[in-house]
Amino acid sequence: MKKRRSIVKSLEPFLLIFLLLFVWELICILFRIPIYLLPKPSQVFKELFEQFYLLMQHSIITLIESIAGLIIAMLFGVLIAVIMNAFKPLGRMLYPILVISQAVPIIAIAPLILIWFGLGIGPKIGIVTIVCFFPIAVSSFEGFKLIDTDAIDIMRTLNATKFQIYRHVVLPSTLPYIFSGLKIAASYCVLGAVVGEWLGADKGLGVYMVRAMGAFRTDRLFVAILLTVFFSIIIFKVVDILSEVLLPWVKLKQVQGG
Amino acid sequence: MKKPSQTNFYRDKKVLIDIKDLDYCFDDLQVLKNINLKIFEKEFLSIVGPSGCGKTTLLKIMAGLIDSKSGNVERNIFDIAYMPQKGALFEWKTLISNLALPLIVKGEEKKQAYQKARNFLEDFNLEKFENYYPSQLSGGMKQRGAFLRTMITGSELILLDEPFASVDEINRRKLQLWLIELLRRYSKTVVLVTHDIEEAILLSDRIVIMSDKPSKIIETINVDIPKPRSLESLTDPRFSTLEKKIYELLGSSF
Repeated sequence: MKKRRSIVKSLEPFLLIFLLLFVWELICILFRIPIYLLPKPSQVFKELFEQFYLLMQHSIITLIESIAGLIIAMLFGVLIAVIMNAFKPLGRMLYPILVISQAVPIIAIAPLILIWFGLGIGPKIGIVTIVCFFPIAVSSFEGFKLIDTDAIDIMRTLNATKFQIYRHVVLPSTLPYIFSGLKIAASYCVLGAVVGEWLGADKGLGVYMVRAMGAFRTDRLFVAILLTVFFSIIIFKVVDILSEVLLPWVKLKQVQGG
Repeated sequence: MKKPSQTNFYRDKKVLIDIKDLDYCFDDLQVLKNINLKIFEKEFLSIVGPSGCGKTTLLKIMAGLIDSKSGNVERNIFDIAYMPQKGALFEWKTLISNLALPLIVKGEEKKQAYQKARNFLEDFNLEKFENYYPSQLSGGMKQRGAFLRTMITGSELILLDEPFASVDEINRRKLQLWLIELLRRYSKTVVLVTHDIEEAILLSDRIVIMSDKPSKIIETINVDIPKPRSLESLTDPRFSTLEKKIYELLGSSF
């Protein structure tokens, strides 16, 4: 009984989505909306299965770009945060630059990057990195600022080495912050990759979108949107699970209320 | 000010920390003024004073965490265990890894450190909590864990900064009695910073009374209530006499 209820509960988030899809399908049928304006959900899913092999070929590229960009952004973001924390004046100088880097519209920067670095996979990874590294850097930096000085004092009276202090105090107490930045970044790394591909590439979901648009195949456009969303959710979920496995105390703290 | 008479009593004991003519300023604010204090081997010394006086600063200077700048702080001891005010267990480590940490930092094998920590927990009937994270433990339990982590290092000198401040009244008394028991088992030198006068009398051999900023030592008092102390000590007539005396000394420092 209890188990059944938990299954029902886990289905709840999808309930509304199914309902909306159903209404959408109904509207398309009732008002006879032509497919090039708005395809029916059923047509979108049909297209997804028919083009599955081709779509996967494009998706794999987009996924590689997204994940590689995310990982580089994480390394880079944490590194910047470490530097900003270690050299305070430099940190104060870097902070506004970080904000500016995020405020510059990526859609304007991306073509420049493609002009400079070409149409390969590398420049897309670069775009994903630019999009993703800001939330990681900022929240890691916040984490470094909030390190408990008492904990470091304890380590110092134990004559701990710098490395031991990093390993046992700094890193574990900052990891939850790094992960909260990483989660935000994970939710839009695929988007970054797609934007990059949109502006010029030979493979990837962005390219598929451009071609679908050119052919007025809105159904295919929706398929690409569907996959972009799907992959974003998957990457986000992986990061989320990873943080739960690596940082079991964070969840306990939330449950117990500290 | 009269010379403390107890110097005779402690004459043949080893001095672990000897502080002479210590002044300490934080920017323009003078925090400590002309501090002269000896910490003797195996004694329990409390430092009592109003909140925000330089008690914690003095303790950190003893721990070697703050450079004393002026004055002479002589340490005849290398290994010092320090428990800061919020010196709780590390929330990212389980109880047992918290206890094993000091040993690992000091270079012990991981396996050995954990075995020692486990034995330690068994000694205090806490072994069933060894894999709990601090957030799963009650306030009193957390604090006991923090004490044990401070003790496990085997350091001769233990510096405690208001270790009972974050615990509720009922658990505080329990923890104080538990600490007495703990110290009977592991004979240590303890310096305790507190603003709880009752606590200081219950636990200490000597009490140092400090004034508000710039903090000076007003008086050092010997606690002549017999040891081992227990709840009965609270009703000892000498207890209330001492309490009154300390309140008077603190009151006169304005």
